[in-house]
Amino acid sequence: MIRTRKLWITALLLWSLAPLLWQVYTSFCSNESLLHTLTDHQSRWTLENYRQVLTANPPFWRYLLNSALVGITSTGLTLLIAIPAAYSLVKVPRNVARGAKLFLLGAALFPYVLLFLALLELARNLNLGNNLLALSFPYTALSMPLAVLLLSSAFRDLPSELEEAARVEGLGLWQRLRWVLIPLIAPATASTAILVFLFSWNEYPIALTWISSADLLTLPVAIARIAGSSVYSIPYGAYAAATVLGALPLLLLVIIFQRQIVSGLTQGAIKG
Amino acid sequence: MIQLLLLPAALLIALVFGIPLIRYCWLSVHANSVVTGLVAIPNHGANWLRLFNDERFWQDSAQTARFAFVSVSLELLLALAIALLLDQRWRGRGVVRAITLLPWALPTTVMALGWRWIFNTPYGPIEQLAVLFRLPPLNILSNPDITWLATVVGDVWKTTPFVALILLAGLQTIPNDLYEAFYLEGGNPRAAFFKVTLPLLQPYLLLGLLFRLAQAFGVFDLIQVMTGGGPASSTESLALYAYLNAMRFLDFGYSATVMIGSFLLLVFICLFSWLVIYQTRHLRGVFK
Amino acid sequence: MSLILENISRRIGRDWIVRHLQLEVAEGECLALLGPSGCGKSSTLRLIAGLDQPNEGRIYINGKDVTSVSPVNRRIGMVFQSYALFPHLTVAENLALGLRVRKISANDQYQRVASVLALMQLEDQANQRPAQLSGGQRQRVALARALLRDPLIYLLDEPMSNLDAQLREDLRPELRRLILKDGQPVVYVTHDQHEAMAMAHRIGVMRGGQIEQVGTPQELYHQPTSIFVASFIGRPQINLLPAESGIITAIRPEDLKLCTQGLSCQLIHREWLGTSQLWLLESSRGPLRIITTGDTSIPNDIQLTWLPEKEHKFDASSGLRCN
Repeated sequence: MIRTRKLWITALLLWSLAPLLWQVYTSFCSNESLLHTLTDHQSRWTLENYRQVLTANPPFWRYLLNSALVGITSTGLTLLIAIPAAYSLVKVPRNVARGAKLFLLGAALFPYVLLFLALLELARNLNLGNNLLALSFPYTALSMPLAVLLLSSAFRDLPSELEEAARVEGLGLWQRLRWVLIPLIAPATASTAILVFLFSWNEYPIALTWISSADLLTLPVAIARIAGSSVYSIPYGAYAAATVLGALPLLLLVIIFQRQIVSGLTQGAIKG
Repeated sequence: MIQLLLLPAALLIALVFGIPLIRYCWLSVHANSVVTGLVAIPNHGANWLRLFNDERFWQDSAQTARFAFVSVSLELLLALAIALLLDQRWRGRGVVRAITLLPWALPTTVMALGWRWIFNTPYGPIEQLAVLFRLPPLNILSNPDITWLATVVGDVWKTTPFVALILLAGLQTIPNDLYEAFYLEGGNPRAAFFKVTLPLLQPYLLLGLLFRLAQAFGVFDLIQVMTGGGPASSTESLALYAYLNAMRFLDFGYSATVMIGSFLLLVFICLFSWLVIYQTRHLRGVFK
Repeated sequence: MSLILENISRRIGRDWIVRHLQLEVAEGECLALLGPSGCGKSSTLRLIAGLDQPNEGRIYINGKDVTSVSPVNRRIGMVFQSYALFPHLTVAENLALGLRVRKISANDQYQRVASVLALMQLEDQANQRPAQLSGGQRQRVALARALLRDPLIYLLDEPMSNLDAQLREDLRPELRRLILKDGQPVVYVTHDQHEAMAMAHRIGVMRGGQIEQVGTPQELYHQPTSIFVASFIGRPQINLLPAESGIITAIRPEDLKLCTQGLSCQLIHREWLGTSQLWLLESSRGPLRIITTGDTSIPNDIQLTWLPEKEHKFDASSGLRCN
C-alpha cells in the first residue's frame, strides 16, 4: 500500500517537473552540444544563453517588469471594484443575487479569447494601444466575475451579527468595511489577489494585440515573439533560458502562496 | 443605495463582455475587410452563408471539439487520481501539492515553447528516446496525424492541477464517518469509491468538466505558440482561425462571424454534454 | 426612561414576522421576551434596535419617536447571541472601536475602556483576542461593550445560550445586577423559561409574531390566559385533560395529589430526581404527569385527586381561558 503510494507520488512529481527540468538543463547547454549529441563535456555547460537573454535589446528583465506592472495594477483595480460589489451582492434581495451569480458564473466560464477583436477595436478607438496601464482595464474587467464570486462568498460566510454589532456601535458603511469586514475577509482577498495576478501575468491574446512596441511587451508575448521570430534556426538554448527566467517569479509565488491559491480556488469554485 | 456599489463592476463587465458580443453580431452581417477598404458594408448574411460552406471552419470545429473532449477527459481522470492521492495523509504532502500546482501557474506560452523543444525533431528528448529504442523518427510536430496529440499533452500537463484542486476540495467535503459507516456495512475500498466517493463528487466533477470544456474550446495560446495551427492546419483551433481571419487576412466581418459561430457551437456542446450526463443519470436511476 | 412599542408590525413578503405588537417597558424594568424559535422575539429585538424597519407602528424611547432613527442614534446597548466580538481585534480594541468612531479623544477612550475593564474584571484579558477567551469572559466583553455605549436601553439576545448550564446559573445574579444598576429599561430575549423567570420582572410570551400574554412570572404561572402559555410555562408540562363539552381542563403536575379514592391510574414511567420525582401515569382521562416528593413510595393502587380551584379551564376552540 505505502510502496504503491510512493510510486504514485514519484510519478506525479516526475510528470509535473520533468518538462521544467528539461528546460533548466537545456538552458545551461551550449547550442552546439544540443545539436550534436556526442560533444565532450567541456563545451557542454555554459551561461552563454542567460547572458544572451539578459543583454538583448530590450533585456529580458524588462518583460518581467512590464508583466509585474500590469499584474499589480490589474490586481489593485480589481480588488478596489470587486470588494464593494461583492459586499453589495450579499445585501441585495436573494433572487437578484441568484440571477447576478448565474450571470457572473457564465461570464467567468466564457472563453474570453473570443473577445479579442472587439477589444482591439476598442483599444484603437480609445487610443489605448501600446499602453501598459491601459492593458489593466480589460484585465480588470475579465477578472471581475471570478473575483466578485469569490469575495461575495467570503462576505456571505461572515456572521451577520458582526456587522450588526458594528452598526449598533455607530460605524457607518465605510467604517464597517474598513474596520470590520475587509480585515475579516483578508484570506479570501489574498486568494483572489493571487488568482487575478496570475491571470494578468499569464494573459496572452489581448496583450498580443494591444501591445506592439518591443520594450512594452509582457512576458508571455515576448516569449511567443521569440518563438515566432526565427522559424528555422530556433535558438533553443536561449529559449530555455527565457522560460526558466519567466518561470522563476511564479515558482516563488506558488511556493509562498500555495495555501491561499488552494483555498481560493476551492472555495470560489463551488460556492459561487 | 447599496446596489450602487455593484455599478462599476457591472459596467466594466458589460463593456468588456456585452459590447463585443453586440459588435460581433453587427459585424457578422457586414463586409469589413481589406477588400472594402476596412469600411463596413451590409452584405445580407453573406458571411453566414460563407461560414456554412467554409470547410476550414468545420474542420477546425471538429479539431477543436476533438482536442477539447480528449484533453478534458484525460484531465478529469488524471485529476481524480491526483486528488485521491493528495487527499490522503502523508509526509511532505504540502510540498508535493505546491509542485503539482506549478504547471498551472506558468504562462501557457512559456511552456508551449518548452514543448516545442521537447517534441523537436531530431534534437528533442522524445526523438532521442526514440533513437535509443531504435524506432524510426516520430516527427511529432510535422506529422498531421499526431501533432494534435502533442497539443493535448501540453494542455493536460498545464490544466490538470486546476481540476485536481477542485476535486480535492470536493473530496475534503466528504465526511469520514460516511466511509466508516460504509465499511461497517461490509463494503470494501473499491466499492466505497464507486458508491460513496463518485456520487458525492459529482457536482465537483461537473463543475470541472464545464469549466474546462469552455476553456479548452477556446484554446488559443498553446496552439498559436506551439504549432501555429500546423502542420497543414491540422491543429488549428476555432479561436486561432478567427484570429488569423482578423489579423492575417484582415477580414473583420468574417472573423466576427467565426467567433459567434464558435460561441454558438460551444453553447451547443455544453448543453449537449449536460443533457447526456442528465440522461445517463436518469437511466441509472431506472436500472437501480 | 422608558420604551414603548406601539402597534408594531413587520412583514417579509406575505409572512408576518411581527404582528400588531404592543409593549411597554418602564424605567429599571427587565422584560423578557419568551417563546419557541421562530416566534418573532429576536425580530422584535431587531426592530427595537433599528436593525430592521417595521412596516407599521411606532417606537418610542424616553418618549421620543425613534421609528426612523438609525441604530447608532438610538443609543442601544446590545448583547448578541454570538456576542459578535470582532475576532481580529483585541478585547481593548473591541471596546474602543465604538468610542473611536464617535470621535472621543484618545485619552478619554483609554479612561473609559480601563474603567469598564476593571468593572468587568477583564484587565488581564485586555490584550487577548476573543478566540483566546472563555465563554464567560466573552459574554463579559460583550456586556462591557454595551455598557460603554452609555445606552438609553439594553437589548439582550439570548446572552446565555452559548454557555454551559452551570455557568448560566452562576452568571445570572451578576448579569442582572449590571444591566439594572443604572435604571435603563431592559429587553431580554430567551427561549428558556427558567432564565426568563429568573431574570425578568415581567415576561412577554410570544407566538406567531404576537404577544400571547405579558405579566409577572407568577401571573403567567398561576393565571395563564391561553393553553399555549399554560403549556409553555412550567416544567414538567401542565396536564391537559380531554375536552368535555368544549372545555379543556388543565392541571399542573404538582397540584395532583395521591389519595385512596379518586381517579385510578397505572404507572408507565418513573423518574427519580432527588428531592422530587416525576411519574408518568395512564388514566381513563388520558396520560398524566405528577410530581411528588422524593421519598414517596409507589402505592399498589394509584388514585389521584385535586382541588377544583387548581383547575385551569380553556375554551377548546379558541384556546383561551374561561375561568
